[in-house]
Amino acid sequence: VLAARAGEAWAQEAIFRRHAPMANGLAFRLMGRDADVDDLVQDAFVAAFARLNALDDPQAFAAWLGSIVVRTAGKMIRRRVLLERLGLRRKREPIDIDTIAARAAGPDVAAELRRTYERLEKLPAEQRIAFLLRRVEGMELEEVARATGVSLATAKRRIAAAQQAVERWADRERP
Amino acid sequence: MNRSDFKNLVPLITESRLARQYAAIRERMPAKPPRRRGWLAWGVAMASLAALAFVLYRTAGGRSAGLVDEAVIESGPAGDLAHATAVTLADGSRVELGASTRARLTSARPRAIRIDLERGSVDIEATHVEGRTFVVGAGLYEVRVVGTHFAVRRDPGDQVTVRVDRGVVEVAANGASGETRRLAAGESWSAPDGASPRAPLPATEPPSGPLAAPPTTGPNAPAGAVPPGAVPPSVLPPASPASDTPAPMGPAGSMPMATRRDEGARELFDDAQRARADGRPYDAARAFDRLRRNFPHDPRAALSAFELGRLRLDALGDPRGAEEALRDAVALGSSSPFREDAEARRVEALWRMGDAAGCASARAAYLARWPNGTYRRAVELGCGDR
Repeated sequence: VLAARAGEAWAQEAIFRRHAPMANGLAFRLMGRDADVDDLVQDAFVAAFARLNALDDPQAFAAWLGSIVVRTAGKMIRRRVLLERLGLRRKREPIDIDTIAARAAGPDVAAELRRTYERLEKLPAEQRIAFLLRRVEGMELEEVARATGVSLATAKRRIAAAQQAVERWADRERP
Repeated sequence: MNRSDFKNLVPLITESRLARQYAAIRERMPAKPPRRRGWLAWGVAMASLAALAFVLYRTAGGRSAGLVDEAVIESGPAGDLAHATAVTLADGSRVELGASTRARLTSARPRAIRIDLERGSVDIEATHVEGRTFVVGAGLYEVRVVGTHFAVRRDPGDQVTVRVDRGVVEVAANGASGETRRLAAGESWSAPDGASPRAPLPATEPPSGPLAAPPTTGPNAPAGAVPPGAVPPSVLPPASPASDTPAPMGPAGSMPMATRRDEGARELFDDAQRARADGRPYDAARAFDRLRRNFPHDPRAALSAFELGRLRLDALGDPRGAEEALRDAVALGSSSPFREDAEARRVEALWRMGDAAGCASARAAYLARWPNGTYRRAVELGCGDR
C-alpha cells in the first residue's frame, strides 16, 4: 500500500490482484448481475487508488475497499433506478444468477436465490444494500453502518425495513 | 437456504477478466504514464524543467524566489530520453535525475535550497556558496551539503542511499534525536526508508546486505580522496545462492548496486506485465522467473513467484512448475499478503500433478493457518474430495 501511494504501478496491480476476487464477489452479491460487476469493480478501485492517501491504516485496505464497493454499488443502483424512471434504461433486466449459482449450488437453491434477488430488486438501494451486508455478508451492525456511511440507528432501521419486506413477500407466497 | 448459499455466489473470475478490469482501471488512473508513453513522460519532464529553469533564471536576477517553491521535477523510466534529464540551478549547482525520479524543489531561495526526493535518485554537483544551505530530504533523512558532488537515492518504503564523490555532506535523521553523520568523499551510507528517526543512524558502508556497495574507486572518486578515518572500501556482496546468473555489475564509481538491482527488477517486472497483457504467457513467465531468481531480495520477488505459479497453472498447463513457483512464493514472502493465495493455489497445483498425499498435506496446512481464509471453501473441496 505504501508503494502504491508513491504511485508505483506494480504495487497498484499487486493490490488489485490481491483484492479483486473479494471485490468481484461482493460486487456481484450486491448487484445480482454479472454484467454490472466489471463497472462496479473498476469504479471502486479507481476511487480507492485516487484516495489511497486518506487510508490511515494500510492494513485495513480490504475493509476500506469493501466500503468503497458498497457505496459505489449504492450509487450505481440509484443511477439505474433513475435511468429506468426516465425511460432511458429497460426496466427489470433479468437476474442472471442461475448460471453462476449453478456452479456452487443445486437447481432448487439457485432458483431460490434468483427469487430472493428479484424481491430485493424492488427495495430502495440503501435498504437492499444494508440487508445484504447484514444477512449475506454477515457484517455486524456497526460494520454495516461504517460501510454504508450512516449512523447505527439508520443502519438498523434500513435492515429492519428490508427484513419486513422480505417476510411480507414470503408470507404472500406461502400456500 | 442459508447465508453460505449466498456466499458461494461469485462471478467467474478468469485471468483475462482480471486483466481487462485492471487495464480499464489503469486507463482511468491519473498516475505516472505507462512506459509505452515515454514521449509523454519526456514531454512532461521537459516542460517541468523548462518552467523550473525559467523561474530559477528569474530568481538569479533578483526577483522573488518564492515563486519556485514546491516546483516538481520528474523523469521518465529508464530507457526514455527523460532518463538523462538534468537541471542547473541559479547558483550553478547541477541536479541530474535518475530514472523514474520524482523530486520537489521545496525551497529555491538564494540562501536556502531544498530538494525533497519522493522516489528515484538525484545526482548533485553542488557549488559552494557562503551562507547558503543546500539540503536534500529523503524520507526521514536529510543530506546537508557543504559543496560537493554526491548522489541520493530513495526507494519509498525500502531504502535511502547516499554516496559522496567529492567534498563532504552531513546526513541527519529528522525528529527528536537530531543525530547526524558526516560522509566524506568515497563514502556511502544507506538506511531503511521510513525507519524511526529516533533510531541511531546506521554506520556508513555496512559490510553486508544488498545495498552495501560503496563506490570508492573509479573516475568519480580519485585516489587519495578518502580522508583519514573514512571507512575503507568494502566488497560487493556475492550474488544470492538462489541466483542462477550474477546480478548486473555497475561501473566502479557509479550509483551503488542497489540502484542497478532495483532497475533490473523493475524492468523485468514491467516486461512480464507487458507480456502478460499482450497475451504472451511464456515470455511473461520467463521474466517473472528471472526476477525471482536474480533478485530474491527485491520486494517484487514473492509476487513474481506467485504470478509465475499462476501463469504456469492457468495458462501454461504446467502444474509441476507451478507448484515449485508457488512454494518459492511462500518462501520468498513468508509474511507477504500473497502467502494465503500462494498456498491455496499450491493445493490446486498438487492435485493437478496427481500428488494426492501432497495435496492433502498442503490443504491441511492451509486450513490450519487460515481456518477462516478467503479460499477455505475451494481448498476444502480440493484434492478431489467433492
